[in-house]
Amino acid sequence: MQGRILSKTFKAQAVATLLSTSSDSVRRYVDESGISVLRQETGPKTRIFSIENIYELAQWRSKTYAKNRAKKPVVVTIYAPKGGVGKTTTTSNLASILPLMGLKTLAIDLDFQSNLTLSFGYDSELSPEEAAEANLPADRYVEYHFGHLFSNWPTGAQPLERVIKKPYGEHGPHLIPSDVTLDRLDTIMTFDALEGRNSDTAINRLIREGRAGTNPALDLSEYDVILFDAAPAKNRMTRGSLLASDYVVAPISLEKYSTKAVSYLSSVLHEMNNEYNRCPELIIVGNFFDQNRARVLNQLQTIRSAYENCWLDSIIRRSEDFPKTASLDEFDLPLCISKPSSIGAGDLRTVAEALMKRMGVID
Amino acid sequence: MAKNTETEKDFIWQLAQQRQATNTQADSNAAGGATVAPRMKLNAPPVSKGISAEQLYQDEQNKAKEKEQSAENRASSLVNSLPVLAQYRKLDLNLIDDSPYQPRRFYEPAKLDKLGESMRAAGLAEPIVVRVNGDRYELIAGHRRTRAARNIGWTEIDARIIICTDLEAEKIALVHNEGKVGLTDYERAHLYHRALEHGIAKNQTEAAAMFSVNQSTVSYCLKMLTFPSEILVYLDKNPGLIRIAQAREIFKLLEEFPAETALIAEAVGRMAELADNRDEDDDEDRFNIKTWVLQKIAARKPLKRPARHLIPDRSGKALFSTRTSEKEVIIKLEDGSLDAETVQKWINAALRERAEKVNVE
Repeated sequence: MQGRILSKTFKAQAVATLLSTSSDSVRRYVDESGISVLRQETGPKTRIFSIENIYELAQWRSKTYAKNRAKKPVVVTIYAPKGGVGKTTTTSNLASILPLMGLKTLAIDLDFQSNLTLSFGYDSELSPEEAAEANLPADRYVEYHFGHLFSNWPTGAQPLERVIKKPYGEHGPHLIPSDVTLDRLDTIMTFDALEGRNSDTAINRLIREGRAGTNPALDLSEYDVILFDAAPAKNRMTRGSLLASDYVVAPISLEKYSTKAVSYLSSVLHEMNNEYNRCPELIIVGNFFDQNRARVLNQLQTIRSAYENCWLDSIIRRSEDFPKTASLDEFDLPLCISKPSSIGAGDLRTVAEALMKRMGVID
Repeated sequence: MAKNTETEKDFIWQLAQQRQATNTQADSNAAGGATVAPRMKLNAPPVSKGISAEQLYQDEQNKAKEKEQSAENRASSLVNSLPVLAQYRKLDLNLIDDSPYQPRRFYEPAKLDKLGESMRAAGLAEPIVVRVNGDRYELIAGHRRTRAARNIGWTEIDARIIICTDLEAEKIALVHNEGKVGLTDYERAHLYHRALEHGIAKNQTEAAAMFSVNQSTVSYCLKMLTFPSEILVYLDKNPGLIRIAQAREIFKLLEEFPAETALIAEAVGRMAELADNRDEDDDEDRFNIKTWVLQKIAARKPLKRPARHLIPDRSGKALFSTRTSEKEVIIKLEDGSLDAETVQKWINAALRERAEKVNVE
């Protein structure tokens, strides 16, 4: 299936912002790499970059200049016990930024509400007929999800190639989408548990075996970062992804009270530690920061003093750039792509880098 | 666009602390003095790192391997103790079925591939073990090798054919899978039924895939749910009471003696009693249901042969004998000199006399 063709184009300056470099460097990269970039038809023959071009450049740069080579692969679950904290926005932007840094990224939508899937332009409600009618490319239809990778999925397992979506081309983020039937995976895991089979570790097993690269139908060995966007619920799938993760990133909204949610998450991690002698390391990311609001400053203070060790120094400021809700109306792209020069995009890039450093993925 | 630099962060931090100081003061002033708010206990995340996810996986795999090895050894010795029909035969792979008694089996493709490669290179080290099942064969040992053989395109495979009852086959499968603690067959029947009812699995094939068992296993387990209620009562109390091999025996009995449901249920009751009183360590001495039921039926059968009464003449020679069946009195002429019509006249006369007396009274 060919990648979705995004009609949005970028000029060299935007590309430079996205790649955290200068326009001159961008032009040099294009020349050196030989990646074919279209030029404007009329007027000054400035280069116009497609999103696929940008990611291809990013990967090329990383390989050629050994920039941000991953020191170790990580598995991360993005999890927020409460909604409205910007979880999906954080995940979709993170997944879009990391490959720009040269890190091969796989995002897995583990929430049958499919918000992450939506944010990349895939409507899981869309049927193949509706897609054809609306003249959308065939790969826009979501046929398979994470559950289909499991051998005991009732209708049989699918190879990774068939399940995966590449919204911005081969070198961009890869996505395992979700749809409403993903909920069945939770039920299947419950049945498994009733049968005495350890279903909590099923996701870990899948990831580890995929990482080993021995199964050609499910080869995860190329990914530096695997991101799970987990549902805000303590269901089996969420537990399974936490157990398989090195880190859990908990976005919180500094506009709201968050200590209860973080405290709850901490107790979940304790339980996991007691039962399995392991749990992912917690990193809290503050969202919607607004220095002009006393309440926000209070929240910041409270959370920081209670959870100093888990707090990520870089936070995301509140800005009008962020859309209120995820919608498919005009292919709301992740902010880092749609408005690379915005404050929000800048904050997101800073957070992404800070996270990768904290996790020991890059220096 | 301002960046979140170190100095700005510090500034914001200071600002926060200042504001909070003034706010708390304002709050407490408004409340007319210092008030102490209830404190919520905040959980902190675990400090220790614990083992890595990779380690978790490795540990799990190692434990599973150990259990499997020891279980395999014990299953092997069981198999070797059974009588052999044919030591070594090349069998058509299309004729070989999985054992329905395998509780669960997931065959990892990567491992099967490796096995296939080694089989292709060095052949089969040991023949698989099967038993005859009609005009096909049923696996006792060698499920992985059989699958690997099919994957690498073999059409035949070396097999040892043994003689093995259902119960023995089941025992071997159980021992082989002993490491895996699981549900009883009856509980699994309910599980499969629920999965089908809820539409999680659309049919038995999907259920089999979902639970990584054979379709025949699903089918045999589900059949248990069709036991007459008198038997289900015992299973509900003790789900481990009957396993699928024995269940098949019981179904055969129910078919053979459709009128004897109550008796068969009684037999199950007997089993339940024995099970309750059995020691944990007792290697089950299987109560043979079939034998017990047949014995009980036989013990009932001698129909009371109605007594024969002899009527002799004065010298003692038997003239007549009479006996009864349900609605008849049968009079046999023991003496050849008598003729039946004459005797009938005598009897009619005697009966008429009796009949008059009956009316009067």
